[in-house]
Formats: sequence, C-alpha cells, structure tokens
Amino acid sequence: MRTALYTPLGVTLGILFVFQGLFAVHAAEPSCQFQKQIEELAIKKKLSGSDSLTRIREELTVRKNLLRDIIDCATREAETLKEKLSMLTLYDQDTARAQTRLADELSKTISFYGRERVRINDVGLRASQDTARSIREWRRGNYASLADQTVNFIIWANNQDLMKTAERRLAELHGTVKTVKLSESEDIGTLVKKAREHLTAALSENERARKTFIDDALRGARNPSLSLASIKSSLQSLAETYQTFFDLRKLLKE
Amino acid sequence: MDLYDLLKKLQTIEPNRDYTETSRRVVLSTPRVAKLSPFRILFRALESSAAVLVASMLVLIFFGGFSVLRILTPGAPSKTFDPLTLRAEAEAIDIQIQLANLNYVEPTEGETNPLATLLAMPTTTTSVAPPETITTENIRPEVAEQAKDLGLIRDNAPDEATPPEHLVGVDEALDLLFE
Amino acid sequence: MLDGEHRIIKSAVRGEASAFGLLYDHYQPKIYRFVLIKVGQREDAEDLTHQVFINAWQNVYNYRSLGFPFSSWLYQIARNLVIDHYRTRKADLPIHAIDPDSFATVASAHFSVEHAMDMERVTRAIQRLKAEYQDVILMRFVEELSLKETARALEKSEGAVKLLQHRAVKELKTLLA
Repeated sequence: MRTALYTPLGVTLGILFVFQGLFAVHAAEPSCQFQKQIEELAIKKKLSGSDSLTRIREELTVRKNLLRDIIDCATREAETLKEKLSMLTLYDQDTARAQTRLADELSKTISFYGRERVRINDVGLRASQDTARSIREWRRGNYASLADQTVNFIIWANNQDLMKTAERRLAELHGTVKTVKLSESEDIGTLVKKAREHLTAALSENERARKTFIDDALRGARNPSLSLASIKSSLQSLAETYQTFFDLRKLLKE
Repeated sequence: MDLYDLLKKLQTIEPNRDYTETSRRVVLSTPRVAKLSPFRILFRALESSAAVLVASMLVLIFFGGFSVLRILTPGAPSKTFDPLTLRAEAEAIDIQIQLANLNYVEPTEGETNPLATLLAMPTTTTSVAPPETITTENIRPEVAEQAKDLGLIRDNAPDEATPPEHLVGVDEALDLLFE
Repeated sequence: MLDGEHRIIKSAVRGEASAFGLLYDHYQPKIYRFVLIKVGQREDAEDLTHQVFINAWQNVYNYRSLGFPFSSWLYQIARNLVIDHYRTRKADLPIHAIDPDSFATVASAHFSVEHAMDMERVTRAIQRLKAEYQDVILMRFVEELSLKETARALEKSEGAVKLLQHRAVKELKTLLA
C-alpha cells in the first residue's frame, strides 16, 4: 500500500492538492455594508461637550473615510463586472464590438471613481456632502443603466451555448424520428412541431436581444429593459422547448 | 490649470514608435532561461501525466468508443433523451432564468418599452423585485454565487443580527452622507 | 488592466510570446512614461524600459497573481531598475547640478509650445521630490493605478500609501507654488 503513495497517480493527486492554493487566490473583500460607519457618523454629529471645531474635524474624518470605502466598493463592483465581461468568448465581430464598448464604459467609471477618491483628500464638510451627492447622481444617471446593460450582456452571452445545445437536440430528434419512422405517429409529430416552434421563438428573441446590444453600441445608447425583456422571453421559450423534449421522452418510453 | 489636470496631461507622453518596435522584437525573441524550481519540475510532471490521461481517453474513445457509446445509450430513440443530460441542460436554463429575473431593471425616463409587461411577469415563481430585498437565503446556491459576482444580490450582513431592511449599501450610504 | 488579462497572463506564464506581446503593447507606454519622468533622459528611459520587459519576460513564469496585479509587478521591476540606475551612474550628481535642459527635453518633445512650459514646470517639480513621492504621484495621478495596485507596487500597505500620497501632493504643490 505504501508504494501507492509513490505512484504517478499519488504524485498527481499531491500536486493537485498543492496547486489548488497557488493560482489566483483572492483574499476575501470587505463587505460593502456601511451601517456601522453610518452609526459612527451619527454619533459624531451628536457629540456634545467637545468644541465645535473638534467635532467638525472628527465628523469630517469619519465622512472622508466612509466616502473612500464607498468608492472602493463601487470601484470593485465595476472592476468585477469588467472582469466578467472580459472572460466572455464571442464569435462575431458585432457583439465583440458591443462587449468592447461596455468594457470601455466600465473603464471610464473606474477612472471617475479614482478621480473622486483623490478629490476627497482636500474637501471640507460641505464639499464632502456635495461629493457624495454628485457620486450618487452619477450612479443613478449613468452607472445604473451601464451595470444593468453589462449584466444583461453577460447573461445573454452565457445563453448562447444553451441555444446551440437545444438546436443540436432538435436536429438529433428530427434525425431519430425520421430514421425509425416515428413521424407517422400523430402525437409525436405534434410534439416535434411544438418543440420546433418554441425553439424558433427562443432563437428569434435571442437574436432580438443581440441586435439591441449592437444597436446600442453603435448609437452610444443603453436600453437595458429592452434587452432584458428579449432575454427573458428567449429563455422562457427555451424552457418550453425542453418541457416538450421531456414530454416526448415520456411518450417514447410508453 | 489644476494640478491634477497637469498631471493627467503627462499621460500623453509616449515612446518613440521605432524604438518600441525594435524593443518589442528583441524582448520577444529573447530566449527564456527556464529555471528548474521544484514547482516547475512538479508542474511538468503534472502536464505530462495529464497528457497521458487525455491520450488514454482518446485511445479509448477511438478504439473502444462505439461500443462504449452503445452501452451508455441503448436504443436509438432514447439516445437523444438521456434523462440526466436533459435534466442538466434544463437546470442550466433555469439558472439563467433566475439570474435574468434577479436583474431587476427600472425602465429609465424616456425609454419606451413595448415589452414592459413581459418584464413585470416573472418566468418562474421567483418574484421579480429590486435586489435590495433579495438576499442569499432564498435562492439556489449556484444562482446565488453567480448573482453575487454580477452584483445582483448582496451578502447578508457579517453581523447576522442586522435585518435585511437595515443593510446600508453603497447608494443608501451616499444618500445618508448628503443629508 | 488589459481586457482578458488573466487569460493572457496564463498564456504568457506558459511561455507564449504572443501573449506576452499583448502585455508589452499595453504596459510599455506606461512604464516608459513612469521611467522617463523619473530619470529625465530619453535614452536612459528607453534602455531602462527595455530592460524592464526583458526581466519581466525572463521571469514571468514566476509570476503568481494571488491578488497581486500584473501592473504592480511591472512597476516594481521598473522602480528597482531606476534605483540601480542611479546607484551605478558614474557622475552621481545632486539634483540641482543636473542640466535643466534635460527636463525641458521631456516637455518640449511631447507637448505643444502652449503646454510645454507648464509640463516642464511639473516634471521638474516631480524630479525634485524624493523617490517614494515621485512613485506615488506618477502611479496614482498619471498612470491612475488603484490604491491596491500602488500599494503592491510600492510594497506598502494601502494606509501607508494614502499617507504618502497626501504628503507627496502637499510637497508637489509647495514646489509648484
């Protein structure tokens, strides 16, 4: 038995055990929850007994630290999305261009946060409030739709393999049904037709989503609710295609 | 001009093109001297053992493949409908549906959306709600992991005693900061 | 960061020159800029930048991300080479003895007449900072590295970098006043 430890299999397992720790281990990021700091800020604001200058200075320090942490969190959020986006493999130039455009917008976001973070160093109390407001408004007016669009794009890209698999399944099914002359059965014929219709609908909505991304990229626009609606619709039709496959399977077993 | 603007302008400094081309060519054609560290020896062993494993599998598939496939998929009609594979594919679709549902998108001002009613109708029984109220507790682990990565949901507070409605994320904190 | 950088780095670590070429294309201008502003001489900057990438290519198989960005690794190599460059220079001149025209070269070679004077002032002022201050100013405000990337490159904690940054900016403003 001892000799088993020295076999290549044993060495391989040992190597795998060692290597699992070596590649791209990211330390756990701090949670992006700020309730404790907000509470601390509230306490500083209410402090009595210290002179107003001290109180203001302490409040300002807490505000600045909180703003920095918020920006770090927001930056990480954008960086993660950008990384997820970069890991997608796309096979046509138009969607690749849409991907690049989203990545560029996320880069601009990250730069914006970087600039705001630097500005915090020199702000006073009023200016720190203004900074918070401007970041919030910018996120609402700009980043929210960018993040939505990027997430939609990632979900859509990951759907493509599912679409191809379903197409392959349907093609196999056609072949099988023809080969064993199962098409003569009315029930099976109906179900096969139903599967084809559902899949056609899925592919059509999938293509509509793709066109939305491409058009948006060309026009510099963002329509996340439009692309999401098409994505959901295509997934719904894909789910119905598979439901039909399950029904067919049940019928074939009988 | 603001100091930061001045510093930013320094970004326009670029190396000479001819220099860059020559340097790049030389760098990439420089032979690498592979130092044999213990890790590299082990890595090479791993690569070669993995290669042996893959080669063995290919041999099995090519020479024993047909018979293996027949064992796995008896009978032509059921070949396409191997239940485990179908179920796995259906689950993958379900995961995508749940992720799409989690990506609650408020239509922006001026955006005309003829499919808005579709958005309002969840494709599964999972409710479509703004992410602030959705936590990792009420969705499948594999969906939760991807959703966290995409920023669709947040982790529960490290202090489990904090109820979800008291969680203060980025946007809530910013709102509180300019009050 | 380069799009798809993790995959590209993995390929480069495996020895694919084309993958390292992509990293070279992305980072070489940044490293050149960083080095040029520090050393003030174009030829020296070209030699040093070239050496950074020779070293990086030779040692990329040793690179492990582990939360350590690739950019930070390159900047670390660049910083060390610049330090060695100053140590081995035969005429180790104090800063005020260096020909001021060498700074003007940086500015006039890269900017329009309108901006050259401002740029010359700022590059001279950066040159007069101590090395650590130069590094943090260049990394944070010119190359726009994140706090984490800068901290890794300078082998300091993020808190220490924040403090360094604050002091560096303060001193730079004083020099420019």
